[in-house]
Amino acid sequence: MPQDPLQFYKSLFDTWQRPATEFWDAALRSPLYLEPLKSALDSSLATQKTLQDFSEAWQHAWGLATRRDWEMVQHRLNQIDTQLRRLNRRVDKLAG
Amino acid sequence: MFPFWNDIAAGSLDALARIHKLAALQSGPPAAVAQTPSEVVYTENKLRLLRYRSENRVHPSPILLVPSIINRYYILDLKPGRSLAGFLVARGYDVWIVDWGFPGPEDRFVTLDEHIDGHLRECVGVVLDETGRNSLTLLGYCIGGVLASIFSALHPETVRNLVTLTTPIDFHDDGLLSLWARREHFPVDRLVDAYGNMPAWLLGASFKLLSPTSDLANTWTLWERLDDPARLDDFRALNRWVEDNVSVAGEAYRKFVVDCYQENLLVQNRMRINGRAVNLGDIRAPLLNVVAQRDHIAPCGSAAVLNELAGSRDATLLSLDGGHIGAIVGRDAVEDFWPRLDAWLAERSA
Repeated sequence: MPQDPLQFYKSLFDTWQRPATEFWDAALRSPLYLEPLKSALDSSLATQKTLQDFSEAWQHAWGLATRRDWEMVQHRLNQIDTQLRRLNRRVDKLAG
Repeated sequence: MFPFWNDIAAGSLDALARIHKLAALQSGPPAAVAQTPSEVVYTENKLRLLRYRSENRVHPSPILLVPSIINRYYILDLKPGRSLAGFLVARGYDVWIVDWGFPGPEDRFVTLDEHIDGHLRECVGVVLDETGRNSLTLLGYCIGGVLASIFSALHPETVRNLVTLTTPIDFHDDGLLSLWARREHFPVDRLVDAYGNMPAWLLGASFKLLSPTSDLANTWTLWERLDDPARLDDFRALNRWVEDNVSVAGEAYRKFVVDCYQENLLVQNRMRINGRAVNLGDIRAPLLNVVAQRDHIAPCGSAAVLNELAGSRDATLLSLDGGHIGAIVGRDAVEDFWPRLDAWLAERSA
């Protein structure tokens, strides 16, 4: 038994880490990982998009603004605010 | 027999004391970051332009630090003694930094073109107006380096020097990130259409997966540093930054992934910003390109290629030992890289 048990565990960990990293690197490059991941991501995102589209269509049918509409309005306001700040800066610069 | 049991008992007591310290750290305040005094000079949307004023300015040419849009800006001003911004200020530079902020849901429509030809261009304009200079040094880190390189190609007249730190340029490298982001593996259009912005949690999870054993290794590091307050604080500050992910504006993310990772247009000089082709050969400013030998995010070869593509007559490639973060802000960087950066800049900042 070594004097410091923690150092013993640390040396075990260091010995384990390099092959473990190499194993994970190979595994994460493997088609066995990448293909199911792509399929899972595709189907999850497609489902999410379908639900969003349905929800938006329903809200529009009732004449309601959707979350995307609000986001676009806020984005446009931010754009206007940005343009005003830039113009303001140029005016200040011209005014010396 | 007794010494053995004494060791076990002492080890157990030490472990208990450490667990108590760990619990106290968990419930205590987060590590202090971004401590270098600065002032907000300009804001637009979520962006802030900060200026670190130097008491003893030696070099008149200002430096604009451009961090990545996928992380917090304070990696370049981590904590006293580990702040690149603070170091440059102490060496007499007039230092500015772009804090890209945290995009809200409405920023899903903000484009990469707007980041480069809008926000960054305006920040450069503010720095030049405030300092009365007609050019500045751009220093970009990671994707910030990509933005700075593109900007330098589009607006070479305003860039006196270009410094790129661990900046991917050739995106079809042998790294995991490059493989995962390929069109056949990553449905970026569907993701942006579904989420709006690229969520911070998903980015964070992806980066953790690049190095699955790193959390365990970090736990060991934390355990070991519990008795060394200075190194513990370094670790906690860096870990705070690593965990502090930022969402990325959806349209900007889509274009970055498609044009860079999937089509690799930047390295072919076929990327377009606001309708203009980005030709890296139009970069004329002196170039310092810093690459890290163990970088798994911007592998060495992916970053080093900028020296071949840029039109700079004065181009330096500096290869550092270390990873994507450690090589730039780690303990060795403070002692070795930063002074070399200062020497390079000092010669070119008169």
